[in-house]
Amino acid sequence: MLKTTKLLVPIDLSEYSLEAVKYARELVSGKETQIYLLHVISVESQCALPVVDQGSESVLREIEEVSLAQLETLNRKKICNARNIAYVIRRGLIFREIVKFAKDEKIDLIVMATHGRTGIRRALIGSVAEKVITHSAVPVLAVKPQLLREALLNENEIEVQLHSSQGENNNNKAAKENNSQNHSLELV
Amino acid sequence: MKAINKILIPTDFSELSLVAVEYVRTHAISTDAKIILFHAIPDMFMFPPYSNVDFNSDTMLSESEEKAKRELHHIASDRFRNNHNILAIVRRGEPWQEIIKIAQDEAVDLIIMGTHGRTGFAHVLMGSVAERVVRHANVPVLILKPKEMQNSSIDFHALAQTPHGGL
Repeated sequence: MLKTTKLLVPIDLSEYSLEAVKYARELVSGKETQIYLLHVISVESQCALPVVDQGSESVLREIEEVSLAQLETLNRKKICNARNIAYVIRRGLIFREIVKFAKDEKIDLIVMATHGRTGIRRALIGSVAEKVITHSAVPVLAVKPQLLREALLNENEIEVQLHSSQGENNNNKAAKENNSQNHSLELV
Repeated sequence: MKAINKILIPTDFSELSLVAVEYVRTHAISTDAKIILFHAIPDMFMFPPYSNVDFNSDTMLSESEEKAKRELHHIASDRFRNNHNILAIVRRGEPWQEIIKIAQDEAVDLIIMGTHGRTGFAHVLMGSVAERVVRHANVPVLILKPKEMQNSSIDFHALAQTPHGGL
């Protein structure tokens, strides 16, 4: 358990990002903890001139309203309604808004799913999570989706097995490895 | 309530890696959580062109191991006094791989480590242990930044110049 009072959980409304919310809620103790659920509406084109016309502005407004409603529904249905959760909707480049919000609001810790809507098939870490980790001055706790954690565990086990079967063929090497890996010792 | 019973702190003894030690000291609520201080010694003589040369590397590595262990003990006694049960572990191998392995072997609940968050060419050149750990670890990883970055303001204007935020 960690001592934190202001927690930020960026959420893209995917199942994976909900896992991060659950983790965050379990992680912190104390009623004085505030959790911010931040959803950023991706507005990629950062045009220097204010050329947003009335039409797209109203579309964005609508998206904002829908997103907020979705956040609230998700919270009620999946995260159990809690008083210490606040919803925030922002527009812009997703990772930049997350980093900026964390800094402006003096967040103690960002708890973030490593994957979101793009899923877990493409990479070991999603691009948004990677950018937030790179640019955030606030500590980031990266939480992998359960599915991927299990997959990685299996993969690593297979690797270990391969390793040890090679070692049987080469006793020398295996002995050396054992030797090097048993150098742990207990303090206190 | 999520119980964090075991925390892994990998360290290369740099100032940055000690940020993680400091974080655990100040932020961990339950003091009965086990802390594993870990250091990996890369076996640099395993690969060509050195693989054929007899450096007597085993002696060298054992010496490094002893030294690393002493350092870990020093950190333990210096930073944590007696209020934690701390395990000091030294292994040989590629640091990020050994960190993943020890996290699995010891079934840790959380890995805490620092990173510079370098970008661009320097990043490609040096790689980043933390980044690889985040990618491959199957437990949550808490990433910390150096103190000076925590206090300085981030140049969002500069970030805006790079279309993908410098990555």
